[in-house]
Amino acid sequence: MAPRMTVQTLLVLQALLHDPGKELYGLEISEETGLLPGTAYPILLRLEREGWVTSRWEDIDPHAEKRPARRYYSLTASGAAQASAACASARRPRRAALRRLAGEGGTI
Amino acid sequence: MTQRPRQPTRHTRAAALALALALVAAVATAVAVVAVVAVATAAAGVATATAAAGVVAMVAAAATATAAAVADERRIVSGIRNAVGGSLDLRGGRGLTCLRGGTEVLAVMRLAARIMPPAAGRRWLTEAESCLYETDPGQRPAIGRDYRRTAPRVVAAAWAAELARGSQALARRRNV
Repeated sequence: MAPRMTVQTLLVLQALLHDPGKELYGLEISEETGLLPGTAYPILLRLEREGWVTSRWEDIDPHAEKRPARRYYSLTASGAAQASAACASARRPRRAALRRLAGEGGTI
Repeated sequence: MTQRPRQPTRHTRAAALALALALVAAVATAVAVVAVVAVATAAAGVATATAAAGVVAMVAAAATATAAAVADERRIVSGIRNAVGGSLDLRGGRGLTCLRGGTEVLAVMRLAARIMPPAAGRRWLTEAESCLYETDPGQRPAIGRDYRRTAPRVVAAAWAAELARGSQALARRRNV
């Protein structure tokens, strides 16, 4: 089942799709999307539940690094394909929606 | 006229023998019943003792796990408090309202984490700690408020993920 595609979900997917091989941690995703980390977290949880995203804890010694471990997120192979499709279809407005816009006074 | 003592007839001997046999049988049955009851009682006792030991072990394990979870949560929450408190210190003490907000944020986050499945709650708190720690101190109150605002959504998402995992495991078990 595909996750619900909100604008915020698309922003998170676009951030992860920017370099699909790269892992991003919560704060990086937040900076890339402009969403606050608390808002991005449930979206990532949902994407992870659907198998689009995978995550892992960073393997560091927090005392040596003087910071807590980060949780890194990346797209799975199937997730990357589905995310690209979702972002591509989201970029293309539906004709019906455009006609409605035109009917409300705009022109196409 | 003297009465001759009555000689036991064949019938009376047979009746006496039958009575004796019945008595022996009754005694044997009673002994057997007592033995069975004793064995059953002993077995029940052993079973009860085993069950009681099992329950005690389960309660002890649950108590240990709960204590570990509480200690873990305390450690994470103190990390968040340090992160939020650090921002307040950097604000030169003008953040009494922020301090109140910070405390409230922590209380709501701790409550939300307790409502979630335990592993999900710990993960959320740990990630919040990590994000708050690495954020610019000036932005921490806003991020804290955002965590508080989205807490119900995280609780719902965490339980949905847990249920999905449970149903997948059940489906796998049925297939095997």
